[in-house]
Amino acid sequence: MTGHSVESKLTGKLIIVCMVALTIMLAACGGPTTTNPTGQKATTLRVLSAPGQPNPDFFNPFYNTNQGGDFGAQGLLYEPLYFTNLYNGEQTPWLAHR
Amino acid sequence: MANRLPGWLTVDHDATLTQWTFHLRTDVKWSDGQPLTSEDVVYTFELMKQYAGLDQTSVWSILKDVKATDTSTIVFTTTAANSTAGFRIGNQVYIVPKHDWSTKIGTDPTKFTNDKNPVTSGPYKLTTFTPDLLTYDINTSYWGTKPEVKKILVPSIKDNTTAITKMLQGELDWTGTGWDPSLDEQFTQKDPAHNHVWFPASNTVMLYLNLSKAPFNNLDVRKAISAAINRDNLPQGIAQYAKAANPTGVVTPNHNKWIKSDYASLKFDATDKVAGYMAAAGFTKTDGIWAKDGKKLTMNVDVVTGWNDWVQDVENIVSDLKAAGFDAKVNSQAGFTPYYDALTTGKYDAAISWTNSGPNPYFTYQALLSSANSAAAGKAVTGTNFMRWDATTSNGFSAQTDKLIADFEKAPDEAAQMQAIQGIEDIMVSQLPCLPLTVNVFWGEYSTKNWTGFPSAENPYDSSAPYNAPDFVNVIFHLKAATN
Repeated sequence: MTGHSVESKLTGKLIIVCMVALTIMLAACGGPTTTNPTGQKATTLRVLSAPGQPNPDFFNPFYNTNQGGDFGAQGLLYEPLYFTNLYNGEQTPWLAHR
Repeated sequence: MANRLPGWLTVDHDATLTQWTFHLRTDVKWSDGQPLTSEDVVYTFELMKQYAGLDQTSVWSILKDVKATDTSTIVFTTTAANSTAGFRIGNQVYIVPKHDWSTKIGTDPTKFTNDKNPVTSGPYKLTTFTPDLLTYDINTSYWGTKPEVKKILVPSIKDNTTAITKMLQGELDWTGTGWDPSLDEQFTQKDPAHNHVWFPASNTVMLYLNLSKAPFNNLDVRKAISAAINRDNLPQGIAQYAKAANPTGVVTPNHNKWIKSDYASLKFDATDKVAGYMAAAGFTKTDGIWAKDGKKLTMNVDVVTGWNDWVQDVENIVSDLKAAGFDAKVNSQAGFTPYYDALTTGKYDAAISWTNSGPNPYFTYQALLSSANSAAAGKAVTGTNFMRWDATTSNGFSAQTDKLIADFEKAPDEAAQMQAIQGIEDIMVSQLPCLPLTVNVFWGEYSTKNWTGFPSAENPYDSSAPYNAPDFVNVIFHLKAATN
């Protein structure tokens, strides 16, 4: 058996984010503040991988965000040996050099 | 560049495709100054072997052992020839520090939260954590080229509406939220210079038919059902981003080069073929409904309430099926769990669902068609073999798909891989194990007010979705600061 549970769950998330919001509610509270002042080069990136649960207390990089892990544990904090681009299949070494 | 495949074969391997050797960079240091060595790599993989819960990608289903031959060289041995091993070992496992983890993880590393001063190797450090906001700051001693992004804020936002509102208010730079064309007026059209969306193809959506149930095990019935559905009618309204699929199920246009030339412009059968296929299957119409041995063909088509684009697809499909003489109904499941349970345990007639994404069609086909992913009646299937394609349901063809999947895994070069994939395409087109509908997209919305260099149709260097790890890190490395 060579299951690809990550991929299927990942794709499951794609499906979950397919749920389309049809109304716009102009809520004016919460969220990250503007941290890139006018006239200066940006230093901060504000990213939301997908709407959903509060951030879990789980920075264990064996789990992706669909498996309960936090955004960033995989990739920002810990790294793989090789990177295979999911979009075009191109491969580049990461922690390995070959 | 993009087609310099098969990429995972660029990993150092022997002629039998059972020994995969990774040569570590020697300049990588953990955040506490310790060097990252082959010991860490072996520890990471041994931990996954010992605690199967950590092995979320089942890499140990193909591995025999992992050995360090020196401080920077690791040799992985697989149980059988497998050309995908380089990808599965290299891309899907994140290396953790032995000296830190071995003192912290306790008796159950699957529960290890790792939230107290984690020792890390990556380009960012975790600065603060709350359920509402994660803050990452650049790792100033990162071994590689440092990205221009110095700080990353990751809020939690509960639903699509709020996420889109934040995007419209300029409080987010990048999101992967399900999109609605009506939002273009407020976002892309409001500031066309800065506000962008790009939704590249991700995976093929199927109409799965439960092959363990008659009459869906009958090929002519499957052909008739397929012919009844007008795919060109599906991409509209809220489902407009998902274009009609190719009959092979290969993700178009990303994987077009894998499609056999005979199938490149192949069309699905038109509705006028339904009657012939149903007659061949021994059905006649009673009260306008196809019936056999006095029994009308009824079918429920499962979908999840609230998955609006798919609900619309299923409504269109059911309408097409009714028009063609099938007693079809939408079966809207109340949530993901009952829907997924029905799908995996074979308690459904027909259902709309996904296939896996991957860098080439193997990853889709392996999860979809490997008979090892099927299961005995009542047991849950794995991968996306929701139709239960196996020796009992496939009229003998699952032996061929299994062989072709194995051929791909043993393939020493791309030509041999291509031959295996195209053999599977023949079976997809002639046997219809499931019915390709449309090609789903990755969601990616971004503003170039603060950052430029996101992937786009003009610069498609990766998918635009921020939820694919480690691809989103590749995107972050490409970002350039804009001057406000």
